Amino acid sequence: MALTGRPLILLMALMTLTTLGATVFWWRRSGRLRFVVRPLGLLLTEILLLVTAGVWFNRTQQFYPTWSALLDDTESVSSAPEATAGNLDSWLAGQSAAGTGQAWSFEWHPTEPAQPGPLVVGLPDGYLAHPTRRYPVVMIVGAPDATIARGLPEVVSVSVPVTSVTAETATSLPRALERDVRVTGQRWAMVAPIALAPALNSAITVAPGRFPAWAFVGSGTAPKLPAGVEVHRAGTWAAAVRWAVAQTPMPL
Amino acid sequence: MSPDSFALEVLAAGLAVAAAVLLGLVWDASNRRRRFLYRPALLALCLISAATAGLVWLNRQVATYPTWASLISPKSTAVETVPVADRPGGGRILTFTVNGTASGLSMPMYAYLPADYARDNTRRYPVIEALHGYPGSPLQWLNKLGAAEILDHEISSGRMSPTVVLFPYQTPRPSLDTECTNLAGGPQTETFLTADVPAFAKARLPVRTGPGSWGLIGYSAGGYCAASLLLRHPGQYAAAASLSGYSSPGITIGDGTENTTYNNAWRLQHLPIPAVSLYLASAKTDQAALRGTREMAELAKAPMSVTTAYVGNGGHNAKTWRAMEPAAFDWLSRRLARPLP
Repeated sequence: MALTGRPLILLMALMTLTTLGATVFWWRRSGRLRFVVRPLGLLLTEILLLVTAGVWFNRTQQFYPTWSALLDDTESVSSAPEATAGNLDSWLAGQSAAGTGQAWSFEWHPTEPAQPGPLVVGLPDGYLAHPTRRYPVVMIVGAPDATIARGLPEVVSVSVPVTSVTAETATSLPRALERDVRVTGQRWAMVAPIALAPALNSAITVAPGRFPAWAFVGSGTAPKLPAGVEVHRAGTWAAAVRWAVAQTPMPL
Repeated sequence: MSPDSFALEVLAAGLAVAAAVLLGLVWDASNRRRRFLYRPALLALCLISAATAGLVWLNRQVATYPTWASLISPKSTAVETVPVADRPGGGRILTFTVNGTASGLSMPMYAYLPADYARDNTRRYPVIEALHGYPGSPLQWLNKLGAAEILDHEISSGRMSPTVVLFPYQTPRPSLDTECTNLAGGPQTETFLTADVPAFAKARLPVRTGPGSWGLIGYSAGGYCAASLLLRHPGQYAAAASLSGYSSPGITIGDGTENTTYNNAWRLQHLPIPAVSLYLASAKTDQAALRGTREMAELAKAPMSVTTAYVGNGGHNAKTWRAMEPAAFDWLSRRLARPLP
């Protein structure tokens, strides 16, 4: 019998009326037992009345739609995605500088998309020391000085030279980075010259949630981005990168 | 002894038993004239005490009337705070009264400060506004849903970054369901939650100010609220988690907007979709919430990102929301900007 079905409500109502009838019937007929029968009958009637009201209310609100929802423990929702190693983690562990756990940069050659120029990935302090953590990413496009991306606190950086910017830079490249390095899939930040903004902003629709924070360097008119995307205009690359890092979550 | 206390529940149940026993004992005692007085009186006492025990139990579940003042003066806006115990080594729960200048509402608010703040009080933290259901109050988050203990656990285990969590009221009167909207000719709860509460928190608490560091979470009516406020204020919030929420407010706003701009499904179909992140969780057996969750998930398109989570067992109750809480808080934390030194 379903917990939210009409039959249960009818059954409970019938039991209430029956108990009430029995209590009235035995009220004067229970002799010496009346001091037990009367209170018991009254209390049982009251309890059944409350249960009937409760079952009816539960049917209207669906608090407990099934018996198992009422009686069993609710199964929990998994609290965190499984942190799988990046494809390059074991290679990184073999590199002496990275193996120490200190911040380190390396030239990255993704299998796809093919890149016309060198890409540099910067790992933060402790990347290898915390193999269960996933790191947010700051993507730095067209920075005149690659050292600006090195050793950023608690983020992975990827530096893309202007010569390597293609239509896929902000779409396929992040997916390749997700495979190779332990990075999150959302809330990355982008730092780019304002002139490159039109070529990059397709990332907002191709991968929703990945780039909610954009720091533009230089003068010019920023493109109109959807509501919810935070845009920052910075005078220098260092200020832009600093702001971008602050917009990312902690590695978790 | 507050109206949602276990002591009152036991007292009411005890009174119900005592009244029944007394009625059985004295039914035939005394003369006929007196019987006409005490028999109806004792019968009424039986019914009233039993009903009271049931209502106190219900109030303990939803924490709608945490104080006698909130019960006795239902039209009063003086919803009182009640003390919440500190947990050794855990975050602290503070209580405030937010005097909203923008909304004209004045309501209490609880705030969770992470334990990290005791070690370094110079940091600024991301913020989550936690919205309660209807009927209900923020105390249901703290008592039935164990929010403070869950936040302590998720933060200390590294699945969530230290975060300030605000627990404001969304009901100026316990009996008034606002669904976090600005009611036409009525309380401006949306303004209170999106303007007054953030302004208060930025002035009085160690919180970050950018929209990328503010999120929302809510269960039941609060779940609708979280999604609605996210869609309506993408410049204020980056992400929201809706636990067993609906896609429409289910109340009359007074100007018909419950069918348009306050209807989340309508917004997703007719207005530009913002670049925000939404987490939708529901029990598969909770049909109304499941419909709302699926409808929203189907309508949400880029640049909005949606994550869905379903619980096989459960319903529309505190046990289910408590099971959903850790994953929802973790999800939010991964979508909000980090604490700043």
